[in-house]
Amino acid sequence: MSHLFPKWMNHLPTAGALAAVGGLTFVSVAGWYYLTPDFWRVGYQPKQPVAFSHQIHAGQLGMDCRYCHTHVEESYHANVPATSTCMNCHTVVNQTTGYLKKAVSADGASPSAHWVSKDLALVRESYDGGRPIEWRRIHKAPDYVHFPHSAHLKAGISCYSCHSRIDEMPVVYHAKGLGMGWCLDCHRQPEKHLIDTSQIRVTDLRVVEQQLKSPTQIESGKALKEKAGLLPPQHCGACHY
Amino acid sequence: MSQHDQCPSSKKEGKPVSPARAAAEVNAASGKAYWRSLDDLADTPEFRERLEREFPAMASEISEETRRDFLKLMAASLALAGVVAMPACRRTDHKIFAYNRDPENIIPGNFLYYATAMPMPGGGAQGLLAKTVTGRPIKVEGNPLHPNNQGKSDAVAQASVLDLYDPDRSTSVRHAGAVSDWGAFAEFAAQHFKRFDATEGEGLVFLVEKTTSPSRDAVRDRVLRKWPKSRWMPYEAVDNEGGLAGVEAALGGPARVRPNLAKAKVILSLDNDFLGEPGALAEARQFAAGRRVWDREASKSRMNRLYAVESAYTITGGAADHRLKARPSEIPTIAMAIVAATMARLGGGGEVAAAAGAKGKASGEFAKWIEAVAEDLAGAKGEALVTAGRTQPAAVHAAVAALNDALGATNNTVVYLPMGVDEGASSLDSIRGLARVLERGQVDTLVVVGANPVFNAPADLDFAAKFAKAKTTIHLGVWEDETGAASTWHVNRAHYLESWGDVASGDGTISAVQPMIAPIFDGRSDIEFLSVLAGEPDASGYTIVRRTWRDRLGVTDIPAFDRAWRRALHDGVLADSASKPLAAKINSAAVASLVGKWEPAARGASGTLEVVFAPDPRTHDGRHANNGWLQELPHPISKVTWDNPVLVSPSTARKLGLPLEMGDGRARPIAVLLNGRRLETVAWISPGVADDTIVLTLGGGRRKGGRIAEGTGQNTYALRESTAMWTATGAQAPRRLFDDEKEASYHTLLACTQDHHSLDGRPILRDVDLAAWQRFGDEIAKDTDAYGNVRVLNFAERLGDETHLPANRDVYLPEQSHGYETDPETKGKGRDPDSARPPENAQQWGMAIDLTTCTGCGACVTACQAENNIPIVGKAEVWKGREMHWIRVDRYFSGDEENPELSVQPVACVHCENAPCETVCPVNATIHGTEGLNEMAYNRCIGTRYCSNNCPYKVRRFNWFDYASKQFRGGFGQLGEGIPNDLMPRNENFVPPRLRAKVSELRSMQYNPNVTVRYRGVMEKCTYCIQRINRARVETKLQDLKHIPDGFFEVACQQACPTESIVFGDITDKTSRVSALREHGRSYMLLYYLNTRPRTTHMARIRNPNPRLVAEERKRRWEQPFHHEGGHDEEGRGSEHGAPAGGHASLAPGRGDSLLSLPVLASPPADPSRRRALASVISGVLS
Repeated sequence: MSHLFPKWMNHLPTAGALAAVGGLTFVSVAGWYYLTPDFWRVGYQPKQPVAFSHQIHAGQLGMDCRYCHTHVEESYHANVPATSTCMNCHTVVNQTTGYLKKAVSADGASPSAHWVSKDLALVRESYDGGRPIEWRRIHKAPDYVHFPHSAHLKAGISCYSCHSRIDEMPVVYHAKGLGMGWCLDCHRQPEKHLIDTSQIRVTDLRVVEQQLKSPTQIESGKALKEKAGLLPPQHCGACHY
Repeated sequence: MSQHDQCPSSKKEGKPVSPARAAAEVNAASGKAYWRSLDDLADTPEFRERLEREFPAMASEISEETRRDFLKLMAASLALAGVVAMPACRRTDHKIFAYNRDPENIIPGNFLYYATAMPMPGGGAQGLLAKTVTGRPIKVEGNPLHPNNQGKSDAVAQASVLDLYDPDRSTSVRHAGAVSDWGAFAEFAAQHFKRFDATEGEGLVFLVEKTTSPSRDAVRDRVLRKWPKSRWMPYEAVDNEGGLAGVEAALGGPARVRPNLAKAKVILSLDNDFLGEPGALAEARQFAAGRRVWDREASKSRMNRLYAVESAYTITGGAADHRLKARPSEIPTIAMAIVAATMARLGGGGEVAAAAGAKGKASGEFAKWIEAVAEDLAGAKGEALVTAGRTQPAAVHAAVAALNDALGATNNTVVYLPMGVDEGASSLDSIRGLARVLERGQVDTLVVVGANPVFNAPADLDFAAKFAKAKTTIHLGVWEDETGAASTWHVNRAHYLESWGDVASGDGTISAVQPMIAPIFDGRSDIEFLSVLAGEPDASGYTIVRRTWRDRLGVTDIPAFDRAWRRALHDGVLADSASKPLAAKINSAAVASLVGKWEPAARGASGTLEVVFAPDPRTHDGRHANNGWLQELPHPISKVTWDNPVLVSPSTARKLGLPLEMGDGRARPIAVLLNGRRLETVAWISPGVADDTIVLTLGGGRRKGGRIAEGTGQNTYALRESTAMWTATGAQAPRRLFDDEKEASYHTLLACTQDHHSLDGRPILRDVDLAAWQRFGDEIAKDTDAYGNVRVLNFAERLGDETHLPANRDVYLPEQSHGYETDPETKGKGRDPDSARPPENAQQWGMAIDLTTCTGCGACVTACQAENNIPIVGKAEVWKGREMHWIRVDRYFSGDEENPELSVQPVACVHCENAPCETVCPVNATIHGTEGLNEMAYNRCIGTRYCSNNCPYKVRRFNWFDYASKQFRGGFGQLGEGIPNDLMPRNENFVPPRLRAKVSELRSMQYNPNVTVRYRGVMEKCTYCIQRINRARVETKLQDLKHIPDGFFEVACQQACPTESIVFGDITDKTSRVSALREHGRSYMLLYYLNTRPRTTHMARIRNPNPRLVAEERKRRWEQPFHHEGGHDEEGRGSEHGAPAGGHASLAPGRGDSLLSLPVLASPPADPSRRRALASVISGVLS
């Protein structure tokens, strides 16, 4: 009997073993990354029915988040505003021609974008008693997670810590993973995110970002934690029930 | 004591400790044998086998036929999965629908409460707060400002919110069986009712349910003014004919009898289930208040005593200190005898006493009882109360009124209030009169409002046939029930949570019924409907109610009226609207003449049975039959769900040839023959029913009215005649025989929960007589056990086996145990709160359940179900032991099987500090929180069920199927659908979820958004309403409070409990109510010896028996309550346990101690110092 198998096949077990190890490593690493909210959720940026720009409203115009998300300090949810809230500003109505005909800037130059905006058609329709606007939800905790916005704001956690710089987003996207490990990171070290609400508005995202990135944050955060006696819960029943 | 008996005397050399036990062994140390069922008492092999299974038979098995179905469907679902899987592999697009215009007050995510009221059948109301979330009512809670509820509610009110979202509700107007609409009906009505204007309503009949609504009375008056010759007939199938007539005769005018139990110290109930009536919250609260034993000194003068005479066990009988079991025909004569005897003792008595004495015969067995009761009543003059039920004839009610007057009860422990015309009308007269005019063809148009006479009219009236003789029939109902289906027009009615109305409660206080939501199916309320008929088509409920109230208040000034109106809407009650008591004057001559004319019912011929009809505590007269929560709520006494079997006593069962063993829930098929009518039904053996008596529960066997109602139970109205509405004689009940064994077993399945979740006879129930409590109640026994550990036992603990066992020692080091167990004296029970506060400074939650005041009504079970999104599972699943209730109310009998005492005990997860479930969970899905809660993370659970296996209290429930989210029909309506393949009908739960319809969108509107809806394969159990705790914590934080103050929130069961038997709070707060209760001498922990250290403590029940009626043996226990018997054989008792019996009670060091399951230590060394050394070695090993 001569050689039934070619000689190169002697390397097959080694190669196979290496491939198996490599494959396993790849699967693990890929799983570690791709199967987490950091991959699946971060960057989710659906097109909204109304092209509402947080960049313009919260950034350029400097509106406080709570002008629209009115109940965030008293409820578990940060409510999406009713259409009537939009109409607080967007009803500069001309008696004869309808909405916003008068919206011309002070120097008499170009008429406002509202003049031609098709997007506002939906808003007007909704306000006039038509279908409510179907906003697409971006940040969603699973049904078995109960997250109180009000308690977090009260403790001095800014919108920024979970939603990032919304005031710089023309179209809002999912900026942080919001996975459970991510939640626990903060619950274990709240000092990284606590701000002094007597000095800084929680909704002033630019200032908050500066503060949280400043080298003094840990120290001031620890002081705030100590002062308020904060002990963020880490047991299951704090959020899951 | 059974397997866990650790007393050395039962472990003598060579004597095996047998795991089998006899009934007498099922002992609490207080010397009583408790049993749940006759099988338990007899300790049949089947019972033992069932006990030893974690879940009842078939719970985790699929029968062969269904398994094949399952595989077929599985294959189909896989095929389907291939088709739909790929496109489904995308992120779900969640939408947010914001309001167009912001409504006032609504904050998404927060609850909004509105005061409203629920009208009760027959009159009266419950004042409620409806909890709404973005415009949907999801739960009702008692209105704290309402005089009847005072913050509490019952099971029927709790379940009423489910009716609002019932997918089987009538959704449209129907004409001649076809779908129509309101416009068509309004047009018809406008034309049709014109004809009566000329004839003044000749031929027009209104058959209306009884209600105490001022607005409906006003509408009635308008209707009768418009058509004076029309007939207005109030009708309820469950009414109190005798009471109405008797009280009217005694007082010379109609009056509502309203007991004031808070003032009564001796109460006698003559077949009156005053604690179990729907909406009887004031009664339950007042009764409990007079019964609560806080400290033994005060209890001497304070605790009330309840006597009950009844034929079948009721909630009231279970709460009674003395219950006399009597046949229905005997009760009136017993009543008369008591009236005569009591009046004689009160001196004189006069004509009523003479007349009653002539009728009342105290035959031998009852004589002693009657004498004792009469003496007790007479001795408590001014603090006594006698009350009679609806089964009693007018003469008894009249005589009782006279007796109450003689006892000084009038306007003291009982008040008489003015009553409306509708409430005072006789239902029997109504339905008989209606049948008569229908028969004569004098009815042109019959309008039925709310009532269901086609189903529940007396059988001898043959009402269904007569109903068809009316030319036009119009029915208003929430469901298209039997009457609706038989009517020309059926109009869908608005639920009370979606309509305007008003109603007066038992004390006369008027509440507005406020809508929480616009009518989902465009239904009309009764007042709107009647107004339309009366030619006021534009009258809305709102304007009708306001008009009535304005007339009533006599306010012409609109702004002033608006202020009063808004205040009334906010408070839920109209201020100062309670009725003023009548100046009741008893007309003795009239009472005596009524009593004289009354003839006691003859006892039926020998060999025949007496019959008593009883409303169902859950479905009442059948009106709640389509409510799954109520159908699945176990009957408070028989513990049967989804059915209303005939109840018979064990001795009657023997006479009828029915085997006593229930096996796995097989009832016995029988036929009941009464006056030539026959009902094929099943019998269930229920200890405590009078001999030769059968109990027919009303409300089952609906033919129309929804998927759940139809075919559930037996229609006992088929045997009820207008001459014998409540009791009858001369019945027979032969066994039904079947050729086919399978058919026989199929017809007899009953889902009874009495043996489910049994603890194998481990004594968890403790009750003791008041005399013993007064003697020993405050004593704390302190000693050192055989191992040198300090043992501190209070009164309740000394009643149990704690006296037999070494002190619990924690196997954890102090630093492992969160710091809240170190001191053996406190045992973590909060006696030393400073040492018990864990380092996190978190509050520690605990609960105390008082068994003295618990009546076992089931309000907590239903409130928990509403709050925590607990699904119903259906009859077939309950039969398998898969019911999902987080709270179970265990019902125990003790004593003689023919005339047992009854005890109840609610058991939910007790939140052990050393929880056995936590140590066995492989995925850490159930773990301990920093506030002492035993938490369930549903999303982690993989369904191994190890935790349930290891739970000694059997309080964990497993989602075998997608009960909550998928359309479910397992076990609904299987009776009468033909013979199935196997014992059980096909269970649609085996259909894979993908192929099953989702639960109706309407149904899911009820879900509490703060509680996860659990999915298949997940374990769940009581969470101490953690959603309420967390919400309260957030709220207190927002208010800058450090801790949640005591009473800031209540858990759902506590909030509902009509007797306030459940108290929840922070056990580290010295001032909290729950701390006080945990320190109380009656407080004990279930299965203390396991050292699980439950956070829920129970409080031993105290009974208050009359010494004259107590056997000598029981009296001996008053002196030595801690003596125990049973468990040890005679020999053992003779030597170590014999004399003195107080040997254990004195806790002499080194007596009767051993360590669990360590046989080497079964007989510890005699020398105490050596023993102590050994103990320290062992505790070293264990830690």
